[in-house]
Amino acid sequence: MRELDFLRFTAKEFQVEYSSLSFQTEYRNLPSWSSLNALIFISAINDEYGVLVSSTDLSQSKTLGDLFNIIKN
Amino acid sequence: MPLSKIIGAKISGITTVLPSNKEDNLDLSMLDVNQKEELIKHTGIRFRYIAKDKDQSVKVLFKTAINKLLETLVWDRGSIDVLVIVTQSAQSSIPSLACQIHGEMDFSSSVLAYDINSGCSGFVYGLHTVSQLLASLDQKGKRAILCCGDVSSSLTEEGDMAVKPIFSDAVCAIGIEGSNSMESYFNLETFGKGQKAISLQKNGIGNWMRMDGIEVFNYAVKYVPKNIETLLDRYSCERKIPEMYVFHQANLLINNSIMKAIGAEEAAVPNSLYKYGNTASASIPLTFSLNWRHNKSGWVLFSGFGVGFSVASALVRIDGIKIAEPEFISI
Repeated sequence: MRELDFLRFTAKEFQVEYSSLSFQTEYRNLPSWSSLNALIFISAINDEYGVLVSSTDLSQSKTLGDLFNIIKN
Repeated sequence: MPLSKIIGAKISGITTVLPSNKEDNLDLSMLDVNQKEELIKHTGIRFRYIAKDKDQSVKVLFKTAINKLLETLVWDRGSIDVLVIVTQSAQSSIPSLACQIHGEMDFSSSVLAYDINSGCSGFVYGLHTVSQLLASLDQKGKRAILCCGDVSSSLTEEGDMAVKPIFSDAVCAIGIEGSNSMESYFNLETFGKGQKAISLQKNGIGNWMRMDGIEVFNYAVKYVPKNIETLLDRYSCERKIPEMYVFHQANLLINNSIMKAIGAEEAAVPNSLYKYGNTASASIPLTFSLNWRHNKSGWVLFSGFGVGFSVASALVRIDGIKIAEPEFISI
């Protein structure tokens, strides 16, 4: 999994400009972040990368970089 | 529990009863228009049925469903041997709701009656329990009533947007009778480390059902397909291929993920989410009864999953079943 691909994937899921995202972006500050969109995002990550991100993992991560490392590992 | 095979019981009829009060997720005041559209698109849920009077309403719904079942099957009340109630929303759990209903409906003293505390996997757990009980009875003409369902709205905090837009109130009564040649197969599993995915939690004003949607998704997607595949790998063969896969109606995201993981055709996987929401342990018999043609014969895969975290699937032959249209009562 490449880092830029993950940012493109995230931009598409949250319907934001790819150029507005970086690994330092705190994803809970994205305009459409909500408990429902969190679930949709986790489902999309499972479809795309075959990885289930737990609630604990999510609560312990802040940035897209944190999330990328969880998925990669 | 290891895989199990039960010989000697078949489902004879299903009735469903819901409160007539219908709520629309497009009317949720705490969400904006976009959020409501996203919610309906991804959960698949638009309408829910909600009892206005929470006090005793689950018992009233069950009693109505039992009366309708006896009428539909033309069964005499005195011919019933077993009454099992699967619920988590009895207003008073002592004595059991099964004993309360037994007394109020004048069932015979020879009826075995008790409750099973279970939610979204409860129909399959109840079917397993009742089938075993009937198979063990040493007599002819054995009959049981299995009741499944909840008034989940009695456990829902008004502002909880993880729970309120999802759950709907409904109950089913399922008539099951002894049948020497009828086989059914089960795979029942428990993942207790997932107990916090759905649980009752107390705050200053009451006990409310809380749901961690991500954990429910993760447990369901991780364990339900394996549970189904293990059952089908062991027992499904040329003569026992499911014509229909009826899953607990959790939400569209979860149900579609399970469907894809087991490779089931969309046409063989009915859902009732848009019109009825997540009706807890009533969701499988409700969805099945809305989609199975009266008196049709064939094999069906039922799979329930949720609070526990528990997962339960059954491969069941349906033959000569009588299904009543859902009934709505003012409550």
